[in-house]
Order: sequence, then C-alpha cells, then structure tokens
Amino acid sequence: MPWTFKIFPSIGVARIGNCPDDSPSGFYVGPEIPGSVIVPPNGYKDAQGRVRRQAARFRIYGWENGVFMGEITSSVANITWTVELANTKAAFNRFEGIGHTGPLRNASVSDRSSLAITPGPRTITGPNGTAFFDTGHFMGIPVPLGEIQTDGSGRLLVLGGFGSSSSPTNAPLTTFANNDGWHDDVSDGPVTAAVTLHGNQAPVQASGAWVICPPPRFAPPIFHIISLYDALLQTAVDRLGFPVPATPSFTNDVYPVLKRAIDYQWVTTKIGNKHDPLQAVIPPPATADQRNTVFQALRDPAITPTVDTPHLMPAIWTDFFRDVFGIRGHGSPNTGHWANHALTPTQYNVMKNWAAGNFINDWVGPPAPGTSITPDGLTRAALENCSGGPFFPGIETSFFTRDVYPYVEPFRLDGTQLNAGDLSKQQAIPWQADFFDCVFQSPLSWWPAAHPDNVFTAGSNNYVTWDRGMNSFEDMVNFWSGLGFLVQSGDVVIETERTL
Amino acid sequence: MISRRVLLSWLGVSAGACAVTAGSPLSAATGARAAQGTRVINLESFCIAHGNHESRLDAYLADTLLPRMQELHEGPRLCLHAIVAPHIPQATVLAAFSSFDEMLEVRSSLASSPDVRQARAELESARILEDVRSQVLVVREESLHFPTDLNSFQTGIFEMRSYDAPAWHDGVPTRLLAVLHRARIHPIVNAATAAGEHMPRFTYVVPFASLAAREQAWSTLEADAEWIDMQRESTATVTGKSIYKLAPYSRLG
Repeated sequence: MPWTFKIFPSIGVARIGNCPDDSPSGFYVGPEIPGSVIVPPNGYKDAQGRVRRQAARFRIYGWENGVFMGEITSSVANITWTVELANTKAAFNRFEGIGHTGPLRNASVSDRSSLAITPGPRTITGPNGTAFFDTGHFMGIPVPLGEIQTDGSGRLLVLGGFGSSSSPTNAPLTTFANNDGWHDDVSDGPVTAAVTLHGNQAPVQASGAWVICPPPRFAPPIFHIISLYDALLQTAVDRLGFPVPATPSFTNDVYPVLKRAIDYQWVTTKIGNKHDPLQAVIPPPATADQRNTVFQALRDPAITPTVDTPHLMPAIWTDFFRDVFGIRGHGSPNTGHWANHALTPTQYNVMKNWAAGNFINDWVGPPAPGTSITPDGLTRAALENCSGGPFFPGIETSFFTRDVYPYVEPFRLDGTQLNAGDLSKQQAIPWQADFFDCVFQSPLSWWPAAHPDNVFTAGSNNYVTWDRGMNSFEDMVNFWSGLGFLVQSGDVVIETERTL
Repeated sequence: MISRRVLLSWLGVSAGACAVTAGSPLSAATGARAAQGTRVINLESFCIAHGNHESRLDAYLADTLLPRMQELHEGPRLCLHAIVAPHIPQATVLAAFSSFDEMLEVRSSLASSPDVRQARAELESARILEDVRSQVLVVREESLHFPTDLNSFQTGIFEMRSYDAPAWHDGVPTRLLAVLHRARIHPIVNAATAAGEHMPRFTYVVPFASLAAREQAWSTLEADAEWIDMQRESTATVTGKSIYKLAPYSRLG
C-alpha cells in the first residue's frame, strides 16, 4: 500500500516584520485560500507600531495508491520537518538586468563565506516545537533570519526576519540594487518533511517545498496584474506542458485580469477614467466592440520586450528596463516612450479568446473566495499575492525562479538542484533600497500592488503619496515599518496603521 | 414531515435518477418501507470551516443532536472524527434505520426540535460549519455489524472506503466477504449507496486495531489471487477513502 506525500504550498511566503512576538497573537498566517485577504484581528502592527510577521503555514497531504487521502497531521503520523533559510545576496553577483551577468557584489572581500548568512538547517519533530535561525552572520555580526514552529497538529509555521538591514562597514547606500557592505534579513530555502505513519517503521520523504521570506505586503487587497502565480503558471505551460482550458471562464479567468486593473485605482493616480472601458464589460457578455476595445489596449507578449508600444497596457515597466533606460528617453519624464511589461501569453490568450466571444459566460456576480483549504489552493493563495513581474529585479523573488530554476511539477521547484538563498540572492541589497526606488517612473509604474504610489486616507477623496516622508534609501531602511497598510473599507480601499 | 423526494433532493439527485436494479438491496430499500432484511443508514458528515472550532461542533453533537436522536430512535449509531480525509476537521454520524420512512421521521423530528434548531442556528451564525454532506446507504441485515461494545474500538481506527463497481449492478458477490475476512478485513458496514454519482457504488466501514494493521490487511488483500480476479472482473475502483477515530462521546443507540 504505497503512500506518497507532498508538502503544500509548494512555494510558501513568510513575510518579515519588526514585531518580534512569536506567540500566535504576535504574527498572522498568510492567505491559504485563493482570493482571500488576511486582515489580522489585532492589526498588521502591534501596539508599538511594529509590523507583525506573516507566517507561512505548510501542510502535508497524502495519496495512497494514487487515491487522494487528505491532510496528514500528527494524529496519524510522526512528522519531522526540516527547513533551511539563507541570505546569500552579498556573496552573489550584482544585479544588472536580465541577460546581463554582473560582477560579484563585495568583490574586494576575499572571505566569501563571511558574506553569506547561512545558519544551516533546522529540524522539528512532532507538534508544538520551535527552532531559531539565529546562528548566521554577515561580516562577523549576527543576523537572525527567523524561526520555525510546529502547531498542535504538527503543521509547520515559518516566520522570517525582522526587517533589519545594516552595514557593518558603515558603507553608504548608493544604488537601488547593489550596495556593497550591506546586508538585510530576507531569506529563502527548502522545506522538507519525513512522514512516518503511526505503526510504520520507515519514514517516507514528502515531495519538498520552498519558502521565501520577502518584505511585507502593504496592500493586501490589491492583487498584481501579473502575479507570481500567473508567471509560474506560464513556466509550467512552457516547460512542463501544463494544460490550460481552451475556452476561458469569464468569472475565473477574464474577470480577475479586469478586476486587478480596475483596483489599481487605489494605488496610483494614473488611472483616472481610463479604465472605464473595463467597467463597461462587466457583466458579460458586453458587445464585441466593447471587448475589443479592452483587448486592443493590451500589449502582445510576443513583441520583443524592448520595443515601444506607447499607451498599451499594463502600464508597468519591462523586465528589460536596463536595455531601454536612457534610450529614447525611457525613464525620463514625459518622453512618451513606453516599453512595458506584457501579460503572460496565457493571460493574453484568455483575453484574446474573450474578445472573440470564445468564453464561458458563467457570471453570477463577483466571485467570493472559496471556503475550503485545498493543496493547490494553498500554493495559488501564496503565489497570487506576489509580483510576477517586472523582475528588475523583483520584490519577492527574481526572474531566475520564472526562467531558470528547474521544476519537478507545476509550481514545485526541484530542490535537489537549488541551494537555500537561491530565490532571493539576485534581489536588491538591501531590499529597502529597491523598495524606495520602485515608485512611478514616468511614464510607467513598477509594482504599485507591492509599493503603492498613491493612496487614499480615511474620509478623504484626495490621493496622497503613500511613502510620503521617505526621502532617501536610508529613510526606507530606518522607517519602513511606519508605512501604512491598505484595507478594504466598504467600497473603497484606504490606508491604515500609518505610524510615521 | 420530509418527503422522500425532498430527501433525495438534499442528496443532489432526483428520485428518477436513482439507479435501482430489481432484486438488489437498493431496490428493496428505496420503497417507502425497506424490505425485510435490509436497513437504511444515514451518513452525515459535518465539515468544519477552517479554524479551531472542533469543540463547538463536538458540543453540538454530544450535548444536543445525539441525545435528541437517542430519545427519538433506538437504532445503532456511530460518531466518528476524521483523521485523514479530503476535508478535516470533520465529524461523521452514521445512524441505521429500519426503513426510509423511519429515517425521514427521525430527521423531520430532529429538524423541528427547538433545541436542535437553536444549536444548529448558533453553529451557522458562527460559521462553524463549512458544509454538511449527507449520504444514504442501503445495507442487508447480515452486512451490518455495528459493534455492541465500543470500548474495544477506543484506540483503533475506522476506514470508510467506497468502490465504484459498474459490473456489480446486482450487488456485491457473496464470496467477497470471505475474501475480505481472509485478509483480516471485517466490515461493520457493507452497503450500497442509495443515490448519487458513480452508481452502483459500495461503501464499507471497516475497523482496524491501528494504521499498521490497516496497511497489513489491505496489502494482504491486494496480493490475494481471488481478489485480483474479482477486481479485474468487476473493474472496481476506489472512489474515496477516509480514516476516522471514534468520537469520545460516541455510543450505541
């Protein structure tokens, strides 16, 4: 009776925060159901204004002879979890854009191991355990990366770092991505588990997962127009032949693209009435002309990324910014040049089919999030809250995850060919520098769902700059936790819990 | 009183969609009164919304629903907690009746009982329940072996396993039980599903001393030449299996 086990989510997301409280009320668990938005009952920040960490919860699911059995908990098995977190940014290459391999960061440091924060793996067996990633160092100073816990059912919780970035050499912050002498405490690494069903002797290794511990998500109700789920779905389609439905569902496939674009009104002033045509095609079917108006506004992903497509959507920068920046005025105000990031080919085909009238009209109103926790739903919920581009270099992970790293199945990395730290090593160091820089850069935005450009405050109809008061990389390093979180309030999305 | 038509509609099928073969236990029991020698089992699974609400559901079952059922009906019943199932947390109540009419009568009385109504409304207003799934199984008298002494099952497990077996439209071959027993598989319920998808479908509830004993038993069966032949002939496939423990408050009716 062979059992197989898999860990879900296959890529989990544990976000850093400077609230050190690791009791259940001190942090919150990230989304586990697609479309759901987590609003911690006691707020995103504690009474001292410190940002609570978002834990990633991992579960094991079992199949017996290929038949799905369900979640495996400590009520039926001894589970030994092993997690390794690392931050190897400072020992990796400088980020210089996709297709460009930069020289080493900190090239003058000969002891490369002193640049990698590698506390090593931690293991917990059974429920209610805790282990800390507290033995890593950067240039001799300790840098804790967080901890793991198991809950009463033996599920794994991963909590990331504390948002602490510094330079032991007092080096200045000079660039958005590559600051020698600096570290931060984001991290990533493999999650594995050995499962021994009660009464059995031999443990069975579960198919492994990965955890990334990126910066906080300040705008939980706003979803990226291209999420990491969309990007890695495309990877699965392209590399693993993962099938997608020939005929899209309006509710499940088309509406999310429209809704995300419409919702960008809450994080940028640039929408105005330009998205009225999107409102006009809801509910379906709308007219062919109305659908075509929307579709014709989209950039075709088959177009070379550095080619201008003025005024096509989405209005976010290309991955290949390095190759257009300074050329034809890209990145300068009001030049009208516009080399933007396209939807994924799968998203684009969904919209193309819809425009042609080839879609399932299953509309009964805006879909509510589901109520069941499912294996695939866990992965989707984790990834749809991350940016799927532009990766310049990206905020949660880099283009390596989309374009380079191997997968054993859709959304499940081949952990045997990766090292802890690989998913974050090409990210900006420290993350606050890129986060400060990635605001609207005329004529396009970067990732307004991660770093809102403009927001509303309670009771006001006027936009304010979300990161108002932040004037430098250093300000972001020192005061990031004072930034506000966005919440849905009736029909509007407003900033709350700003403590700057 | 809830009609048979309403009951079947709860189950997601029309009465006409019930695939019934003359002479099968199914046809005997889908009459208003079960034929001599058959019983009807109502299997109700309470799926708890994510969160730590098991104690609220347990309180509803142990303090309200089961005592009220006990007053209304003396038939045997089991209450189980899922430990491996597509949805956990989940509690499942199996109750055996002499006929559909009796089952409907009891359900109707429960539904109109003020304390049950109030307790259920409280569960629903607190969004404790994500889903309640009902199945009706039909079982021959000789295939129902609810234990008379639950103490011996306090530390063991129960498996509920369903087979889709198109070739068994006249019922499960009688020799199957002997094959199962050889592998130390002793079902306490060996029933046909009364309505739903993948008909005919057969559901077994099997107690085991432990997970290891379960593994051993099914491995033995898989290696049994007669079972291999039967499986090939029947094209029987497993459509679902879940593992349970006895709820602490479970008792016989």
